[in-house]
Amino acid sequence: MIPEIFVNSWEYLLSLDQSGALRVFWFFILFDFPRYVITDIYLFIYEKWQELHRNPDGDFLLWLKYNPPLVSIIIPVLNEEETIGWTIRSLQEQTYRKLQLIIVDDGSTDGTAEICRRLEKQKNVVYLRFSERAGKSAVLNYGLKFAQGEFVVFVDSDTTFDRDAIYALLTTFADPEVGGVSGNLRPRNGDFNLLTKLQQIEYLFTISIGRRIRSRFGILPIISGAFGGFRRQLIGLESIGGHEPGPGNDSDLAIRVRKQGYKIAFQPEAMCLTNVPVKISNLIKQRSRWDRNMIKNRIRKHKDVFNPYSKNFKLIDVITFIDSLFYHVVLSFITAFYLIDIAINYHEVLVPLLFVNFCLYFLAGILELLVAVGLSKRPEDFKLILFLPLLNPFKIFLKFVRVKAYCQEFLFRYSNLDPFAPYKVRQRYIQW
Amino acid sequence: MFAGEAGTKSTAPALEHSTEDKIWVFLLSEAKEEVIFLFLDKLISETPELSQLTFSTSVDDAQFIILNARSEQWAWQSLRSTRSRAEHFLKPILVICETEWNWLADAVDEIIVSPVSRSNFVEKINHLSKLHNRLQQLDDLPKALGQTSMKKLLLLRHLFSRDPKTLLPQRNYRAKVGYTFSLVQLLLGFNASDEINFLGSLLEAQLLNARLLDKVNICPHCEHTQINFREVCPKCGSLNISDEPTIHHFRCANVGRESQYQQGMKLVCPKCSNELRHIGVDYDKPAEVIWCNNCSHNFSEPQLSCYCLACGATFGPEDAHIRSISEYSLSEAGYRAAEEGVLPGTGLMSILKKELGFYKNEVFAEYLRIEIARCRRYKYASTLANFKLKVAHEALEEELLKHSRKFRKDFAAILSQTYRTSDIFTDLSNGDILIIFTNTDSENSKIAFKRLAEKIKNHFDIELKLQYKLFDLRSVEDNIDDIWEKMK
Repeated sequence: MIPEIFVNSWEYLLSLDQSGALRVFWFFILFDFPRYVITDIYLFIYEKWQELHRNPDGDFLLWLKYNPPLVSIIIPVLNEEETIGWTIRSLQEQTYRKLQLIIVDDGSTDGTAEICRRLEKQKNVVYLRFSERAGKSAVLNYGLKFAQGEFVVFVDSDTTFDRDAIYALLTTFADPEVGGVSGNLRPRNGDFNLLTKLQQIEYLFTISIGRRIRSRFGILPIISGAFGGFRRQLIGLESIGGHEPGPGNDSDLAIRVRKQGYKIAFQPEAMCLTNVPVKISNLIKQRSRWDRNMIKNRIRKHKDVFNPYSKNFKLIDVITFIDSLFYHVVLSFITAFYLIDIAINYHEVLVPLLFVNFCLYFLAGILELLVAVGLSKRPEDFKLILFLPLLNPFKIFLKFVRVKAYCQEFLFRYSNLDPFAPYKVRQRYIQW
Repeated sequence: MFAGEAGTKSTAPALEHSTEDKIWVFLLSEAKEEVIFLFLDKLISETPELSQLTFSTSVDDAQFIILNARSEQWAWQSLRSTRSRAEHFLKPILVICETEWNWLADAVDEIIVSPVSRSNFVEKINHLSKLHNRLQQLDDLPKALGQTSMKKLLLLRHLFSRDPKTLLPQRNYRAKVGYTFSLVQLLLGFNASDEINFLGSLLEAQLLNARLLDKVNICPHCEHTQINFREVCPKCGSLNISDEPTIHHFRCANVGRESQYQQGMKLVCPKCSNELRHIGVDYDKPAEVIWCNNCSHNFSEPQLSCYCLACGATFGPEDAHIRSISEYSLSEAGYRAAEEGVLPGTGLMSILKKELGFYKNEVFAEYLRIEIARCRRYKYASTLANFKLKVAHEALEEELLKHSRKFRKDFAAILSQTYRTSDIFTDLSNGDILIIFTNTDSENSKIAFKRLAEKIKNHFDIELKLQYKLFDLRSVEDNIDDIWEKMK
C-alpha cells in the first residue's frame, strides 16, 4: 500500500504543470509556504546573525546585574494545591534574586490556602486571599496594588520556570520602547499522550517560532497570562487600570499596552513549563475560548485600532491585527474552503493530492523543527520528528474547532457566557 | 546642676524628724566640695524644715550620707568605701548626680538627678529621716557574730528597713554571670556569682523569697557567662561548615552540593556535563544539608559546641551549668530575723553545737563502735542516749526569741555545767541528738538529763519535759550498723 501511494503521488505531481500545481496546491503555495518556509529561514539567518554580532552588555544589562530592580511576580491561584508549591519553588530558584512573590487566592476551597500560608512564612512571599471568588482579573489587579517592583510579571499557578527565565525576560526591557514581554511556553506534560505530544510540537512552532517572527516585525499582539512581564507604571491602576474583567484579559492587556505606544516583545530564552489539556474535550474547550476571545478583543472591543482618526491609531497596530485575524480567522475559513474545493473538483485524484499535501507539510515541518531546534539549543526536541506526520491533520482539526468557535462568537457572542469570570462579575462587566 | 531656687521661700512639706535636735549629715563630693557644700548649706539655712541638718566632718558620726557624683566610677568607689563597712551599711544615702546609672537605685536610698530643687531635696531628706527613725527602733545587732552571719543580718536588716525592698538583679556584661546585685556587691566586696551564692544561702535558710527572672548558661570551669555557642561538624569538630542544598540530577542520578554544580549563573552536572535548567524537570533539591568544608562530611544537624571566651574551655552545651537569676524579697522568717537581729539556726541547736562540740555522724559512728567494743571487752558501762530535742526545743525556742542574747549566754553556761567533755554528741537529720555517755551507766545518764531539767527550771522557770531513750552499750546485741539504723 505505502510504496504504491508514493509512486502514484509522485506520478501525479510530475503530471502537473506550473499552473496546475498552483491550482491544486494554492493553499500551501500562497499561505503556508511563505509563512512557514520563507519566514523560518529568514528567522534562522537573522537570529544567528544577531548571535554572532551580539553587543557587549549595555547600561540596562549592567543595571540588572549590579543594581537589580525589584520585580514583583503575581501568582493568581484557585484550587491549585498540587501545583502552587512547585511554582513558588521554581521562582525561588531563579538566578534573578530580587523578587517579590505575591500569591493572590481567589477563594480556594481545597488545601491551597494552607499551603500558601506556609509559603508566606518565607521572606519575600506575600499571600493575599479573597474569601469569595472574584475572578482572575480582580485577583491580578489586587496583587498589583501590593506590587512594589519596577517590573511586574504575571504567571499562572501551574507554571514552572527555567532558572534564568525571569532574568531573560527582564533583559528584553533593555529596549525602552518595550512595554511588555511574553515568555516562552512549553508543555510540561508533553509526554503524557499523543494529544499532548502534538501540542508540544504545536507550541514549539506557534510560540517559539511564530511569536519570535511576530516580535521581530513588531506585530506581536499577545502576552500569555501564563508568563508575561510589564513595566509596572504602564499597567498600574493609576495608568490603564490593570486587567479588565472577562476572558482574554491577557491579550486585552497587551493590546492596551500597545495602544499606549509601546512594543510587545517575545523572549524565547524566558522559558516556562505549563500543563496542557490531556483530553480532546478539554482541548476543544480551551481553544474555543481562545478563539472566541480573539474575535471579542480584536474585532469588537478594540476595533478603534482600525480607525485612522482615533487618538491611538498606529499603522503597525493595524498590521498586527490584520496579521492575527488573517492567519487565525480568515485562513481557518479558507482552509475549509480549500478542502471543499479539492474534494469537489479533484475527487478522482484526491488521495495522491492529499498525500502530496501531506508530504509538503511534513517537509515544511521538518524545516521548521530544524529551525526550532537550532534556535532553542534543545537537540532533544528533534525526536518530535516522529510525530510530525500527525501535526497537519491535528492542525486541520483545530481549524475546524476554530471555525465553530468563530461562528459562535460572531453570531451569539458566546464569550460573554464564559465562566472565566464568576456569574456576579459577568452580570456587571461590559459585554463586548 | 543646681535649680537655683536658693533664696526663694520654701513651700515643701515639713521634714519628718526624730526626737534628735540635730541630724548629722556627711557630704562627699567628686567635684569641689566647697561648691556643693555652700549650695546645700544655703539651702538648708533657708529651709526651716531642714534646720536640723548639720554637716559632719566624719562619716562615723553622721546619720545620713550625701554623695555628689559626676562619674559612675567615683560613685561606685565612694559607695564601696562606705557601704562595705558594717557600721555604715544601713545608713541612709542620698546621691546627687547628673545621670542615673542602672545599678544606683539598688545601692542607695534616694537619688536626685541635677538640677537640685528645694522641694525635691526636702522630700528626699524626709524619706531618709523616716528610714533613719525606723533603723533607730531596731535593737543593735549582736557583736559576737561571725563575719558571714553579720553580713547576712545586715542585708536582711537593710531590706527590712527600706520599706521593704526587693533586690533586683541588674544586667552587667562585665559580671561573670551577666547580672549583679550592686547592694550585695557593695556589702560583700565579692565578685558576682559569689553574690548569688550568698543570696542562695539566705534563700536556702528560707530567709528570702525568690522569683525567677532569668537562667544563664555558665562555663563549668570558670563560671563565666561569656559562652560562645558554635555549630561544628559532628565528625571532625571543625567550625568551617556551610549550609547548602543538595541537588539530585535526574538524568544521571548524581547527587551533590549545589556549589559543585555551579558554573557562573548556570548549573551544570559535574558528572555528565548537562545543564540543569528546570527544577522538577531536570533536577530537584531533596534536602538541605550542612557540609563540612574541612572533612567533606555532610549532616542535617550540626553539633553544638560551647567555647568560653573567659577561660578558653570547650565543652558541650549539656555540660554548661545553669545559674538561676532571681529577684529576692524578705520571707516571713527573714522579717523576723531582721527585726530581732537573730538568724535562725543560731538558736537552740547552734548553742548546743557550739557549747557541746558535735561530731559528724560518721565520726560518731566510729566512736560508738569503739565504745561498744571497749564495753564488751573490759566489762564497763557506757550509755547511748537518743534525745528528742524537738520536744524541748519548742518550749525553749520561745525563750530564745524573747531574750535571745541573755538566754544564749545562760543556756550555754547550763550546758557546760551539766555535760562532761568526755561525752560525745551528734545530731541526726530528724533533729534527734545522740549522746555517748562514756563510763556511765543508764541510771547516771538519767541523772544528767534530770540535772539539765532542774537547772532550766531554776533559771528560766520553764518546766522542761525531756524525752529520751537509753541503751546500755554492754548489753547491745546488734552490730553497729543495725544499731545505727535503729537510731536513725
